[in-house]
Amino acid sequence: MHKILNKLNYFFIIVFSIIIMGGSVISVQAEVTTVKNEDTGYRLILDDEADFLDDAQESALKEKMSEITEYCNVALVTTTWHTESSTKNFAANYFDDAFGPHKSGTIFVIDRDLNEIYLYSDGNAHKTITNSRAYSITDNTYVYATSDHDYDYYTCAYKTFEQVLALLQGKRIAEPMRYLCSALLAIILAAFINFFLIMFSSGSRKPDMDQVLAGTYTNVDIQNANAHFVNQTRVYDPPSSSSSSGGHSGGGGGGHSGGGGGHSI
Amino acid sequence: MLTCPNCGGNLRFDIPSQQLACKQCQSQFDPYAFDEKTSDAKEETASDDSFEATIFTCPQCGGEILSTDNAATGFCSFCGASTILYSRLTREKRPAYIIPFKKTKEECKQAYAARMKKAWFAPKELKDPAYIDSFRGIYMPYWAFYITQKGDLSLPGKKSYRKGDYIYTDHYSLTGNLNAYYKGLSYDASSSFADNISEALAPYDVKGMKAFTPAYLSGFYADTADVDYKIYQNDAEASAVHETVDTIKKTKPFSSYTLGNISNNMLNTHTETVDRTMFPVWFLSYRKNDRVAYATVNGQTGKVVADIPVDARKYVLSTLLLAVPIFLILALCVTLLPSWLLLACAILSVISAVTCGIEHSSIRRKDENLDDRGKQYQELHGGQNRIPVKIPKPKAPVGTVLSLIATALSMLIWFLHPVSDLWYYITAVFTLVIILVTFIDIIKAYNQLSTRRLPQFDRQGGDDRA
Repeated sequence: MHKILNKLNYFFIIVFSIIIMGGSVISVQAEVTTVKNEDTGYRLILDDEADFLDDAQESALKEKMSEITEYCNVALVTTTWHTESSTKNFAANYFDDAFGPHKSGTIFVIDRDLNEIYLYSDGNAHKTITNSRAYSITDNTYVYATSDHDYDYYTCAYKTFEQVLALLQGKRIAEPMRYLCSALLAIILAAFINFFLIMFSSGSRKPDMDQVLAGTYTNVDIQNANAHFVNQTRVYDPPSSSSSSGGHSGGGGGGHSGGGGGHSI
Repeated sequence: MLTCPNCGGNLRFDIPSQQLACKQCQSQFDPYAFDEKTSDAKEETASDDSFEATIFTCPQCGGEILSTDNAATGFCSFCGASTILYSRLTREKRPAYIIPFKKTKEECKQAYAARMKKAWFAPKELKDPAYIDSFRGIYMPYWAFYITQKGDLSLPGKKSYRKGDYIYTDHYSLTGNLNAYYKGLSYDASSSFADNISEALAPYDVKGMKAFTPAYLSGFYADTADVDYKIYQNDAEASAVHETVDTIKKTKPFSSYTLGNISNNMLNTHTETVDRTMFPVWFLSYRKNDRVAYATVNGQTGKVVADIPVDARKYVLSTLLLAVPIFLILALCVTLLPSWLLLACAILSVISAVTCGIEHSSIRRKDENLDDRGKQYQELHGGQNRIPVKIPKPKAPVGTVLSLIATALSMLIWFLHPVSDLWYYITAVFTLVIILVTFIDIIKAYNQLSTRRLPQFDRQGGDDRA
């Protein structure tokens, strides 16, 4: 009996220890760093829920993000699981919860649940970091978060914030492929437009019958026109039995005012 | 050649006054006054249905053009060759009617110049005043049909309505007395004159037709009729039936009934006469390598119909210029995601493949004269003067094939949805380059389509090396 009690003691000690240890892990995972820029009132939030970053990397990122707080709020979120249907929704909801709707700011999400990165902005920041530019930034940085770069999420986030900061500082970011493809697409579209202009401007229209007959001696005269009943036929054709159900219309729910761009990883 | 009774100078038909005019003594004469009294060329009596003319034959293409003048022409209107034409006297069948030229050469040149102003991509040679000055007045032979529809009408008509589960149809006999005629339905009678040009040059106002006299040809040329009227008879009667049925449908009380099928016989359609006529055309040819383009102006109305090829340099330059604003719009206003870019490329590639295919198919139809009744007739009935047209077997157009390959590749990448953007960008660039190559093919095909094979390929006596 004593042995059994001792064993139970050990068991509870082990279970308790696991619970304690687990609780400390959860608290580490759920740790969110928030720093407020006293000069501007903007905040930075670093929520490495997925634990992709080590302390040194977090420090370096915080330093870069603090530069962004000179212009707007900024957040970095990593996640491996969430209930949102898309990374964009996750980013938008997180942004609204963290900074409030329509506040000026930007949030970068590394989402390993849906395997996507997303840069979402709202408020004044969205005027600078437009959807198009957000797509360009994620196009430039997504590659670091792939197996090609051994899932280097730190560099991915750092480069993203570097380019966000560059835009906020009024600098330009490199969008080489976008410009190359835009140029080629523009040439093709111009070639199409020109070709259809040629087709439109070179064709000679044939006159219709009325125009042809206008230049001829034509007369059609019908005298004593009459209609005589001959017979009647009928075909069984019951009206279709389809019925229409009542309609319903409803308004959509509220949306997010901001936007952004992302890329699969 | 008609000579002035006052001074012996050459008489020419003067378009503004519609009279024969002498440039030397400024005298003017009624063209019909010379029907029985000519100077050099002896005119025939009214009972004779022929007139004397000089036939000029091109030694290069074998094309023939006739005139009442003896002066040799310096170039061939059909193949555009600058050459001395062989001439011989002949007796030609006398047309019944003629529409004299109403538009002067100056007016013709102005109409053509106005048309060419809108042809931004045309080669500059086509706008050269020296080239435009070589417009030549040619009377083209036409068949003018006189079709009548006279007699009692008895047409099937019906009215349908629903009552309960049944659709009832009341059948009627629509009766009346029809008296219809169509005089002057015209079809070109020359195989040298492409049907697509003559159809587009129409309409001519046959109310302006006059009884033929050779004096109207003075100072102009005429093409010879070599296509039988019978190949157009069904077309002419069908046009008359179609028009009469349209009128019947609008006539009360017939307008409230649905008419059944109506055949030529039900309307007593009958071709009364088919007259030889001559209609005026200002004619110009532009030759480049082994192709020739025609510019024509209706000598009565001034309507311009021209083959207008594209100057490749102008096309490329204007495309690059237009690409600049499009690029700015794309770069500044449009979010061009790699996957959507690829989809856009695939769609454009399909469009270019289809366009290229249609162009090549049209070239073949044109070169084989599949849409030209006159040339088809000559190929079938031209006898010993015709040589078979040798058209190489059709090959799948390179542009179409390449574009379809590029489309397939683009769609494959789009469906595979790889993570790396490089796949999208490389495929998009490849597809766009292929579309550009296809466009080169399309423009080449367009230029082939807007020009014609040299006529010597159709006519014996022509110099194939020309």
